[in-house]
Amino acid sequence: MNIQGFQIFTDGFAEACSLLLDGTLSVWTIILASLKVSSLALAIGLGIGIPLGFYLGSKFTIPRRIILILANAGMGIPPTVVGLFVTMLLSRKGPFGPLNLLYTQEAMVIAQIFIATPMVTAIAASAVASVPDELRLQARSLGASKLQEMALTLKEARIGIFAAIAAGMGSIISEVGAVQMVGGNILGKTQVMTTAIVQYTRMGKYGYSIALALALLTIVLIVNILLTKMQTHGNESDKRGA
Amino acid sequence: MPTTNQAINLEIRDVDIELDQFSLTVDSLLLPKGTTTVLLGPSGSGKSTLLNCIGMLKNTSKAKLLIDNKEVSAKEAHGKIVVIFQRPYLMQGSVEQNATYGLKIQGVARQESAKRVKEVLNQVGLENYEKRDVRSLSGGEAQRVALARALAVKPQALLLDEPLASLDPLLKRQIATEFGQILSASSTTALYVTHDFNEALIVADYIAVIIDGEIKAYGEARKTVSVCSSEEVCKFLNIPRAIPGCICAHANSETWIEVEGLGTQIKFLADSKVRAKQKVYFSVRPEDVHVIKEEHAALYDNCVKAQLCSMVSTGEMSQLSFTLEDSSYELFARISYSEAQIIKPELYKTYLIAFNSEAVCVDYLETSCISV
Repeated sequence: MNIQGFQIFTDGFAEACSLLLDGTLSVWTIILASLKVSSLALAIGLGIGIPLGFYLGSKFTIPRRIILILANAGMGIPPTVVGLFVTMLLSRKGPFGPLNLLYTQEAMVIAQIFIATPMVTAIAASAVASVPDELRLQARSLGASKLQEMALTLKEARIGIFAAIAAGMGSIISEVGAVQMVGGNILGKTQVMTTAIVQYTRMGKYGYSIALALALLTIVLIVNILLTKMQTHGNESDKRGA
Repeated sequence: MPTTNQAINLEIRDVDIELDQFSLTVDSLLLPKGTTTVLLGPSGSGKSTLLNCIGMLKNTSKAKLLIDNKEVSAKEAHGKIVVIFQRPYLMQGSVEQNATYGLKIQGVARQESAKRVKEVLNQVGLENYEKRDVRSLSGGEAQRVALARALAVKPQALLLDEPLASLDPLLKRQIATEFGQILSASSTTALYVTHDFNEALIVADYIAVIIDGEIKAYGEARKTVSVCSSEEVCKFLNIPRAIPGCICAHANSETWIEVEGLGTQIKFLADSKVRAKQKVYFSVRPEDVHVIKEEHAALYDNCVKAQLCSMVSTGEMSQLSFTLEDSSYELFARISYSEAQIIKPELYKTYLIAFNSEAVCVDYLETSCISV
């Protein structure tokens, strides 16, 4: 083993730190683009996935089961397949070609929505289904309106709902195939952390790759710390009787 | 104890529910104001389905719910008629948060809400439990929280669906007694579903026996579980069919029943409405029937010779089934292990069985006897 070969890591980390601390513009542009695309896609994915998951999980009927099966299957779709279909939809010859969305951040948001939504839907449905039907009936019997019943169900399912948010966020911020295909990895425009890491690694610019990897890991960690705190916050408050 | 709104008469009519291989048909069931009616029946008889229907929670399409003879919608019923399920179904949080939930959704002011929660927690014996996490409660405590949550909204009626089913027998008896006292003190109109005969007798003013989706017997609690005229109800309650007879003598409170084919007359304590030649059905609860020796006959109001026709051990007790001499009528006696050691019961042997006049439960018919 070539012990001196580990220098590649130390050099890489040293360069990465200086890139991040110096505020090297291209690195921060990539980080901000990633955050912008993924946050927007997650927000829309949650906006669709949580209500749909609530609908699917609150009562099992045959049509709802079919949708749930599709959502569960959707969690396993490879991002490159999503990328392929979104590219075809948005390509010049495709049905949405006239909108000129291919190789834009909007196209990346669309692809990420297709990735995140099934995951959020399936996990939220499972969380809602785990709340006993009788708890809803109990609330109704005490005089709760439909809205109050829903609020109670979501509150009781909150641990699973936060897990759905974490999974949705994780699935899109770390995704590389689809965004590369529909975004084109254009520097300063559609280049995001994952696609940039792939590119810089190929180019041998390990310092840039490590800087972006550190940023990506930090974001994932912060998001998960926040979500875990929110998951357990209710329980802690409950213990205090707040 | 001012924990309820004014008590109401509650009635459900025209229940006709068809589920998979099961149907529930109840023309009418009245829950009299301020009383506890127990819906008693075996598993799968439709008790919970009927309770959910009365609570306007499930399968309510055809049924009519009447509060004080006025039909109400499901929306009007919710919040006034509160259901407590078999499991407490507490929300994540503290005892106080759970007890407050109903008040919060009904928009009760915070100060009034706090006062009421304190009151109901005292009532169910959970004072100083306000801040306890519900996950740290025992089964009995959790069910009390569910009761407190229901009582807090001052319901006009309470529907309890086997609330003690998940508790062990000793705790069940203790909590059933407490529930009975709380229901009685709060004067709430209540329906209490159970398949447990002893639990039913602890809490009931009235009992309705439901079997195979139909109410087969209804009436004052002790009488309903003692005087039984339907084969399937008798089988479920594990008592013999009631014996038909005729009032033959009535002087002050002492009254006698003459039974066709039975050599002796049965003495019982009649109420003031009884009249001579009135047709009656009577029975005696197995625990009130004693197997005695001839020399002890003077200690009892009624002694009858009877043949032992079957013996069943029910754990710590044995149930003896007797056919009364010169007739086909039956009475059961429930005796302890030690009594069995003394009597040494033998099948088809004749014994003297005895019971006092207070133990005779009588169902009076409007008709008169033609001949006895």
